[in-house]
Order: sequence, then C-alpha cells, then structure tokens
Amino acid sequence: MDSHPKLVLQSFLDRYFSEKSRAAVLGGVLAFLAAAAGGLGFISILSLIGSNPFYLSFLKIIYLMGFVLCIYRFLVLPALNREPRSDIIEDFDKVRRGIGEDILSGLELMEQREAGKSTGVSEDLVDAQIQVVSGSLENEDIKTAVSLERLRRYFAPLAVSVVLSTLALLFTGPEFRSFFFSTRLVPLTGHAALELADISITYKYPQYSRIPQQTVLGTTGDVKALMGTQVTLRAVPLRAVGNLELVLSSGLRVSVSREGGSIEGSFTVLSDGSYFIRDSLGARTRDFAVTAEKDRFPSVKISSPNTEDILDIKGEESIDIEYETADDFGHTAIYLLSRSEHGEHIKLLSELAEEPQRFGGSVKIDVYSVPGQPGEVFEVGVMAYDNDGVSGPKAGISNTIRIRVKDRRQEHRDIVELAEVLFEQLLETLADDIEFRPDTLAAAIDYQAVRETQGDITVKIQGAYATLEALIDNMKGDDYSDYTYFIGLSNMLSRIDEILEDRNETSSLFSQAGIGRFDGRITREINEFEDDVLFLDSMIKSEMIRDSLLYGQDMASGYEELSELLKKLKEGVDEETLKAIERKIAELKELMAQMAQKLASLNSSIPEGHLNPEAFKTVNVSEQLDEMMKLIEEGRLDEALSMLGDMESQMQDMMAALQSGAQSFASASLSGGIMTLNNIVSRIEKLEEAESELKQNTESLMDSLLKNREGAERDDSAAKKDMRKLADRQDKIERETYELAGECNNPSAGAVLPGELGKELGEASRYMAGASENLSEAEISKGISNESEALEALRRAKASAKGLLEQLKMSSMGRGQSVPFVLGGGNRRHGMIGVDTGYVEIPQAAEPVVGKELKESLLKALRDGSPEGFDELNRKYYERIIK
Amino acid sequence: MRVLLSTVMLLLAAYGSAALGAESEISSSRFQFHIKAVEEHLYKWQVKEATVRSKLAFSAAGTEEEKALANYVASRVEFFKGNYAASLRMAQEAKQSKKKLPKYIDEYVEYIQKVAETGSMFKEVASRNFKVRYAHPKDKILVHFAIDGLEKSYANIGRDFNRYPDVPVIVEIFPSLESFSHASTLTLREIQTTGVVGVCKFNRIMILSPRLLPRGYKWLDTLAHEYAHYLIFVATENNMAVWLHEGLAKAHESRWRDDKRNFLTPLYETVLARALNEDRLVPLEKMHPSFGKLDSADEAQLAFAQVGTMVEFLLDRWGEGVIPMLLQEVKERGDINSALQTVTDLEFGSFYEEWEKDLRSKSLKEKISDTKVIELKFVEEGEGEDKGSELDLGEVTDLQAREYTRIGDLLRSRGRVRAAAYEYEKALRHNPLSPVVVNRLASVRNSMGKYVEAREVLIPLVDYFPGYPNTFINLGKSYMESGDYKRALRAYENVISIDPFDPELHSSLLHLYDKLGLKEESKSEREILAVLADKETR
Repeated sequence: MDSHPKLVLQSFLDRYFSEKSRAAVLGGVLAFLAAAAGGLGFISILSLIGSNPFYLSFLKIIYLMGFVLCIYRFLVLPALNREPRSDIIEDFDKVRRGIGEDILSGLELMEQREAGKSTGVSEDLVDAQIQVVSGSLENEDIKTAVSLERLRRYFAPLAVSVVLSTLALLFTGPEFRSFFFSTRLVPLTGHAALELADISITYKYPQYSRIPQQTVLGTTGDVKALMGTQVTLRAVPLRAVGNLELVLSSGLRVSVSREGGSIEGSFTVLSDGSYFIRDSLGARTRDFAVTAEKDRFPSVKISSPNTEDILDIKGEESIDIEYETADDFGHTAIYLLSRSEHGEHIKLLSELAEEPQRFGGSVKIDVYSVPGQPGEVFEVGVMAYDNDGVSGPKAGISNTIRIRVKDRRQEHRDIVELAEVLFEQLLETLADDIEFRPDTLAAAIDYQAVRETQGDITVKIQGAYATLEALIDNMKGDDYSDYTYFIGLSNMLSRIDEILEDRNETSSLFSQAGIGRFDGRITREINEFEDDVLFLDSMIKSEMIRDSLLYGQDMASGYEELSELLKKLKEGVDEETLKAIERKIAELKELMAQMAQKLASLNSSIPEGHLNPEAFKTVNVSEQLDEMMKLIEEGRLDEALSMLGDMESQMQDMMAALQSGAQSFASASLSGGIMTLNNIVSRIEKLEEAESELKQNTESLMDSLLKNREGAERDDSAAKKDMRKLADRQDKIERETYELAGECNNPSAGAVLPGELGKELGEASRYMAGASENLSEAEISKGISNESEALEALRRAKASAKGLLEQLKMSSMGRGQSVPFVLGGGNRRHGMIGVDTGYVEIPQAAEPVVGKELKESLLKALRDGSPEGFDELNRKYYERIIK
Repeated sequence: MRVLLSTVMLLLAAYGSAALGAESEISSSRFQFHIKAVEEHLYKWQVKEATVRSKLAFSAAGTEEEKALANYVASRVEFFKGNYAASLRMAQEAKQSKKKLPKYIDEYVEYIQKVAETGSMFKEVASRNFKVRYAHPKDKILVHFAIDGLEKSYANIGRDFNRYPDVPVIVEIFPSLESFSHASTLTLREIQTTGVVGVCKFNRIMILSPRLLPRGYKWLDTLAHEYAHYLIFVATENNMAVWLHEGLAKAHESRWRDDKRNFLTPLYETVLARALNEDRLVPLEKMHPSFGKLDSADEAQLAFAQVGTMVEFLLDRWGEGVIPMLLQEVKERGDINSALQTVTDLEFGSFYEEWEKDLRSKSLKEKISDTKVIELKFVEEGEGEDKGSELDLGEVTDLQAREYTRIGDLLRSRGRVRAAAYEYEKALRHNPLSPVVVNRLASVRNSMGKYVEAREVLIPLVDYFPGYPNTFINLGKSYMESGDYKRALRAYENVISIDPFDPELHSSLLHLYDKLGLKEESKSEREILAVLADKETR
C-alpha cells in the first residue's frame, strides 16, 4: 500500500468514486424500470379508451419518447457523472461529521498544487493537511459512505408499476399488445395476417321472413343479410393458427371451432358493421363487412278518393276509402286511423292471419266511424302493421284524406239553403212563364223567338228539377227534415218531371195551329209553379221558426251549463272555473246574437197572428250576461245564480211562445193538405163500403143460385138480370175509383199525397173492371174473387192515405216526424220541437241504406209506375207507419 | 143687582157665542155652495164661470179641510183650462193637507201627476180659435195641417151647429199610447179593441198621433169629429145623449173638407145592411156611456153607422136648421127625448121606428164582403214604421187571394213586375175589393207605366176604403206621372189627412208644388221633410 498521504487520499477517492458510480447506475436502472413499467400501464389504460389506429399509434409514440427520456435520465446521466464531488460532503458526513469537508478540501489543495496554482498556503501546510485527511481515512470503510441500501427505495414503486402495468396490459386486447410490442408504429389495419380460403357462408333467415336457409360458397367473407339472420362462416386458414375467435365490430367475440383444416364460426346479423377472425397469436384476418338489411316498413296507400280537398260527409252518407298495402315480408293487421284536434282514434279493419305481402281493401266511412265534434275536420288514414318478429311489428301509415263530419244542424241549414235556391229558381221560372208567354191574340207571332225563349225556360226548369232532386236526396238522411215536406217535394218532383216531358214534345206546338194548346200547357205550368213556390215558402218559413227554436234550445242548455259552473264556483273559487264561465258567457252572447238575427228575420217574414210578440223579448240578454259577469267578479254568486234563473225563465217563455208560433204556422200551412187528404180518405171509405156491400150481394146471389141449382133453367134469366145489375153497380164504383185514382196520380199542384195511392186505387179499379166483366159473363165466382182483390186494394190505399194524413196532422202540430225516421233510418227525432242534437249511436249502419233504397223506389214509382216488389214493400212500410 | 148683572152678562155671552156659531155655519155653507157651483160649471164645460167660483170657494174656505178642497177644485179648473203646471201645484197643495181627504181626491192627484208629465212636454202653437199642442218632435208636422183642418171645422161645423166657441179650444196630440191612455182615462185594451184614437174630454180635444199607427188613421176627420163633440158639450151643457153626440160628430167629421155630407159610404151601407138583415142593430142604451166601451170595434162600427144615419135622417126630414134647434132644446130641457119630440113632433120611439123604416126602404146592399175591423196595431217606440209588406197579407181574407198576393210580392221584390201584376190580378179575382191587393196591383202597374190601368182599380176603392192611405199614394203617383197635377195633389192631400209621416208623400208633394208654382206650400214641404229627415226626431 502506498503510504504517501497524497496517494492514500487519491486511492481512497478513486475507490469512493468507483463505488459511487456503481450505486448510481444501479439506482438509474431501477428507476428506469419503474418508470417504464408505470408508463406501460398508463398507456395500456389509455388504449382502452379507443381503438383508433392513430390513437394507438399516438400512445405508442408517446410511450417510446418517454422510454428514451427515461434511459437518458436514469441510465445515461448517472453513467456520465463519474466523480460526483458534490456528494462527498453528504456521503462522508454520514461516516463522521466534518470528514467530508476535510476530504474535499484536501482533494482541492492537492489538485491546485499539481496544477501549479497557488494554494495561498505553504506546501508543508498543504502536505500536512493531505496527510491529516489521508490519515483519518485509513480506518474508514468506503462502503459506509456509499451504501447500496438506498436503492431499496426503488423497489416498492418498481413492484407497483410492474403489477399495475401487467394488469393493464391484460385488460388490453391482444391487438394492442401485439401492436405495442411490435416494431410497428401504426397498428395493422388492411393487411390480414391471417388469410382464409374456401370461405362459405350459410344464411339462416328469421322465421317470419319465410326465406329458406341458403349457403353461399366461395364468398369473400363479407356478409349481407336481413337483420336477425344467423350467419355461419366456414373457411380454411392458410397457415397454422392458434385458438381462434371471431370478433364483431360491436365487440362481441364468438369462438371459432376448428375441425380438420377448416374453421367455423357463427353470429347473428343485428346491425351494420364488420368482423374478423384472429388467433391467439395475434394474427387476424382482414375486416369483413357485415351489412344488415332492414325489414322495410309496410307501404300503405289510399288509392281512392284521391283528393286533397276536405270531403264532407253528412247524414247517412258514407265515403268508400280504397287502400292498398305492401310489405317485403307480409302484414298482420290493417287499422283505420282518424286524427283530429281532439285526439286519435284507431279501429281495426282487418286481421291478416295469412300475412300477405300485398293487400287491398276498402272501408266505408260514415258519421259513426269517426268520433268527435260535428263540423270538425278529421284526417283519416290507413295503417298497416308488418310481421317483423325481430325488431317488432312496424307500422306503415298511408297518405291521409281529410273528412269533415257535417254538423247535423249545419247539414239541415244547407238543406234549407238548397230549398231557398230551388225557391228562387222556381220563382224565376214562374216569372219567365208569365212574362214570356206568347200573346195568342197577337196578329203575328214570332215563333222562332218563342222557340228560343221557351228553350231557355226549359233549361231553367231542368235546373230547378236538378236542385229539387238534390234537395230530396239530401233530406233522406236529414234528421231535421219533416217527412210531410219530403212527400210534398217528392210529389213536386213527379209533377215537374211531367212538365219537362211535355216540354220535350212542345216544338210542334210553336205554330198557329198549336199555339193554343201550348198556351194551355203554360197555364198548367204557371199553376204548378205558383203552388210549388207557396209550398216552399211555407216550408222555408217553418224552418226559420224551427231554427230559432233550436237556437233557443242551445241557449237553454248553455244556461244550464253556466248554472253548473256557477255552483262549482260557489264551492270554491278557482281560476279554471272562472275562465270556463267567461268562455261560456262569451259563447252565450254569440249565440244570442245569432238568435236575435234569426228572430229579426222571422219577425219580418212570418205573417202576423202566428208569432206572439213575447217571442222576441230577448234583446237585452247580452246586457244581462255582462251584469252577471260583473256579479261573479264581485263574488256575488247567489245574486248571479238568481239572475241566471230569471234569464232561464225568460228563455222558457220565449221558447213557449215560439213553439206555439211554430204550431200555429205549421197548422195553417198544412191545413189545405190535411183537408185534401181527409177528403180522399173519406172517398176511399165510401168506395170501400160500396164495394163491400156489392161483394155481400154477389155472395148472396151465389148462395141463392147454389141453393136453387135444380130450377136453374127457369131462374137463369132472372139470375143473369141480377148479375147484370150487380155489374152495373160495379161499373159505377169502378168509375168513381178510377176517377179518384186519376186525381191521385195527377194530384193538384201543391197537394201532399203518398206516391202509391194512385197505384193502389188503379189496381182496385182494375179488379173492379174484372169483376164487372165476370158478372156480365155470369162468372160469379171469379167476380167475387175480383171484388175481394178490389177491396184489399182499397184497404191498402186507405191505409196509405191515413198514414200520411197522420203524418200531416203531426206536422201541423209541430211534431212532424223526420224523413229518416219514417224511411227507417233511425229513431232519433220525435217531433220538430223536441229535437235531440246530441250524438246518438245507430245500432245498425245498414238501416239508412234500406231507407234510402226504399225512397229511391218510392220516387221511381212516382215517375215510372210500380216496380217489381214495390207494392209489398210499400204495404209493409205503411203498416210500420200505422203501428 | 149683582144677580141681574150676572144674568145679563150670561145672556150676552150666550148670544155672543150663538152669533159666532151662526157666522161659521154661514161661511161653510158658502164654501159648499161655491164648490158645488164649480163642479156644475165644470160639468157644463163653463170654465170661466168655474174659475170665478173657484176663487170664491178659496176665499170662503175656513178650515184646513176646506182649503184642501178649494185647492182640489182649483186644480181641476186649471186642468180644464189646460194649465198643467198650475193644476199639479194645486193638487199637490191639496194633498199636503193634514186632514184625511176623500179617496177621489187622492185618485185625482195621482191622475194629474201622470198627465202633467206629458203636459210638461207639450209645445203649443196657437191659431185664432185653437191651441194645438204636441210633444213628439216629429208631431210638429201635424200642427200646420191640424190648424188648417180645425179652422175649417170651426167655420163649417160652427155654421151647421150655429155655435162658435168664444175661447180658443185646446187640442192635444199625444206622443204615445200610454200618455193618451192616461189622459183620456181609457184603458189600453179599450183603445185597441174599439179603435178609439181621439176623445173630447176635460174641455179639450185629445188625439193620438197618427205616427203611432203603421198606416196612420183619418186624424183630421178625428179632429173634426172631436171638435163637433166639443161644440155639442158646450152647446148642450153636457146634456146630449151619447148616441146623438156620436151621430152628430160622425156626420160632421168630414166637414173640415167642405164635403157635402154623404154618410152612407159603401162600408156603412154594408154594415147596416148586414145588421138589418140579421136584425142585430146595437141598442141605443148600449151606446151609453161611451162608444169606446162597446164590446168590439165591429160593434162600434155598426153603432157609428146607426147614429150617423139617424142624424142624416134628421137632416133629410127636418132640414139643416134642426141641429141648432135640437142643441138648444137639449140644453134647455136636459133630455134628448123631449128635445127630439119638440123639434120633430115625434116621440123617441116613433122617431126610431121612422128611422129604421127609412133605412130599410133604401134597400141597403152588402157591398163589401169583409168588413171586419182589424184590431189596431201600434208602432212600438223605436220600431220602424214600415213593418214589411207581408204583415198586411193577413188582411186579405180570401186564402187564395192571399196566396197569389204572396207570390206577387215575391216576384215584385225580385223586380219581376209584370209577373207580379199577373199574380195580383189573379188575387183580385178572388178578393176584388181587397185594398191590400188593389194597392199592390196599382203600385206595379204604376211602375210599369200603366197609369190608367192603375187608376181603374184604385178609384172604386176610394169610396170603399177612404181611410187607406196607400190608395191615395198610388192614385197620386198615377196622376202625377200622367201630368194631372191637380188630381195628384188632391190624392196626396188625402194621405196627409191619414198618414202624414211618409217622406215619399212629402217628396211628391214638394215636386207637385214646384210644378204648380206654389212657393209657400213648397217651402212648408221642405220644412216638413227636414223634420222627417232629422234623426233626432225619429
């Protein structure tokens, strides 16, 4: 050992630095390892956030940069710092306090002297210092100063980092680990490391689709199938593979089996995406596309009616909606959908057990099919549900049509308006007939001008006829139309029809020879139109009174509702009730204004004597309502209720006055018709009596003939004489019947007669003629038979006339039955006064149709004569009326 | 001595108190006398005399009760004089008495309060012999015509009766049915059923404004009629029997027009003929106390026909001078029967028989099929006076005529006048004398320029329905369009005497006056039109 102090110190320092360097390297390594493991764990966790290649690439680059930095920081830097003098004091102070500083100062003095630099002190003192330092170091263990114990502080972080990073790595997919530990800076995307050959795919479609299973060989591996289809992939990998799994882009993994050289995996197509197969070694196929074909929504279309306009339905009318539906795999149910501001209404139209792919049908929409307020517009559509068993049945909705259920009251007003139109047309025609009547006394007549003018008038009559037809047609389903007026209008139609027929044959009359006859026809027309105008005038006025009454009814029910609201308010004030009261009062005011208008027009058009002036004392209701609102606002509810009671009472008085006016007017208007019909009934009764007596006499004669058969020859001439007398009597009755039938077939204008009355009487007349012939030819049995038939026909005629007479009488008392009621369309209305405006369910939708058909045949009979089965139909109909 | 002195003093005292009591009795008796005299003068419509007596009664009234009575009679006198304010004031003073007054005074005060309300609204226009009062602004237009008619009546009826009032007669035109009812003391029902539109009562003539009836009424005739009553009241000191009262008034109501009396119009002839045939003349007793209280307007119509012809019978048989004589006799005798006997030398029974015999000898005919008097309809306040053409259709009694008329109306309202005329002609065939139908037909004929044809149907109607204003309107139009202005004027003047509120009438009159160069009349018409056009007067 070198005993020179300088060498001793040098040697000591060399050992110290050597130890120091080793410890630094070891510490750097440990720190590096901890940082690298920790970084790996951190990156692994971050990789779970996304699988985007660029993201993963970014993570890897970040990690690598950190890794390099750690090498530099923990490995390179400590290796470069070989004589870390700064640590001398700290290291050796741990050995003995102050020695570190002594060593460092000895070292510096030694280096300064060797470098020839002045130390500021003598050489001897320098040597002495070095000697003291080296001497103090002789017994010191360098390991005490540089202890490897300090490295232990790295162990715990290192262990934690390693454990965590391992766990994190385990959570990451093999793709990431494969990518991370690979040399690639970007993850594998396009290139499959695992190649597959002989790919075949078997499609097992959802059951509801009813598509048979199929296998497609030699496919690319891409899958395109109906959602819910089970796909089985078979292929041969082109290299040795480990455990395989099929990975769907949704994250779902499915194990892939291996059998021989081929592999097989299955999955269900639920959405668009992709899949790949990978092995446990990280090799994987490319991404195969998965296209999920969706079950399409059913397509539904209303093919008829094809319009964007609002379609009105009224009374017994209906609209036929034709629709077509189509679905890729079939539908299970068709619904009718109606929608309004009051909500939605769905009604099952058809359940389709067969689940057809195409379906066509129709549905009848009438006022009962769509709930809600009259006057409201409904959107009506057809909805079809498909049979999708995978994602659930889907509904397809058609284009919609807009339907408005006409307010029954509005509907009736429209009818009255139509009657007013007809009234104007007839007045114009009447005026034309009078004013353009050819002057038959004129010296010269311009026949060409007459022809043209009369042609124009014919067109006007045709127009009126068309309006009348429409009016009658509309009345059939109108609850508010009085049957008596309906019959009157039907008679009018028949007569105008005859006028038009006559007019078709008048061209030959425009000559000197024919103008006289033509003038006669004009007179007849004028008489007809005069009576028609009066009939309509009376009908329209009657309607005006009735309309006023209906307003009165609305007012009365409005008062009732208001009274209920006030009572509710009395129980406790709430804002909602107050608002409802305000609304109701506003409604009542509006109603009152309309009613006042109606009453004003009544006042100026109904002849005096029918309406009591009391009926018009309603004008200050609006002020009363204002006053009542004020009372309510002031909380004086009892007073408001009492005031309302007074107003209700006033309204009842007014209604009573109007009702009495309605009856009086109806009675006056229909008195003529009642008189005519009474007269006819009386004449029929007399004929019936006479015919019955005749039949009895004939039967008596036959009895006496049978008794005296033996002396037949002697009595033959006397019997023939008796029969001749009976035949004469029958002739007389027949003539009277025939005349009456003629009158009924061609009733005087304005008369209200049942259409079939003339026919029944005509039939009776024919049987009577037959009886007369039989009696003349001594065929007494046949005669009796014909007399019986004649009597039956007379009875039927009497029943018809009496039935209508009853109707007329009821109408004249203001309790006329509605057209649909009589025609069998319902039982909603009993009299013109107590009408019920509420919605009433009609149990059988088919009934109005029957009524309509019956009416059609009635009208036809009026024009053409008796159709087949008509007599029986009418008989039943009148039986029903009489009952 | 003391005893004697005491006795004398007692006697003196007794005499003194007896003398005082006698004076009080005399004063009360005087008061009662004056009060009774006032009542008697008022009954005889001797208002001047009643006024003097009323003042004397006031001065004689000693007790509070008497003063109240004096106020009451003074109020009545003022009321008879037409002084509503003074009358009301005195009535109220009478009522303020602390003493309990007879019930009739309370009723009177109530009455006077009501009539004074209208009285306070009256405006007065005075002529030489009349004071015409009106309350409704529109009624102003009546005044001119009323004065004209009344002054003519003053002259003509005065001459017939030989009577001329020495003070202006008060004439009041009432603005409403209610005010007329209050003032006349007739109930609304009585007015409507019997058609009383004027009365002569309380020393004045009261009529209802023709404005209140949709088609007016013969209001100038009514004024003359009531003036005749006035003269009879005054001339006979209120002793005339109702039947002759009404007969004389009826027979003279057209005298304002200078018309010769021709009482037996087709209407009255028909009414009488029917009554004679059915032997149901109205007994004269039933006519008492007032025609207004007869059972129906039809009965009143017959009663008027009867009494009118009785006056005619008197005049025909005994000459023009019979009326003044009769009036004088009635005044003097206070009994119609003896007065009649004095003048005619016939007992009343014989007179009646003679009249009936005379009437039957005339072989009266039922010229008009339907003479039913339609109950009066009044225009409500604020209601338009034109009630629409349809309302009078009810007056066409024949059903078919009514129906054709209705069709005619419908056609006419649509401008189809030729066709309308055709329908009206048809209607007329069923009801030839219906004024409703005739006037509609005439109106459309006028509008078609067929003036002669229009007059053909109108002229016969004048005699049958002289109170139907439309007849004269249509006649006037027909004449005016034909250039016959004088006849047109006469026709329109007839309308004025019935319904002077029709602006079309005054426009036509204005046109006529301009054509005839009558500047004063023209100016007057312009003023009337201004009144009618003034919204405030509506």
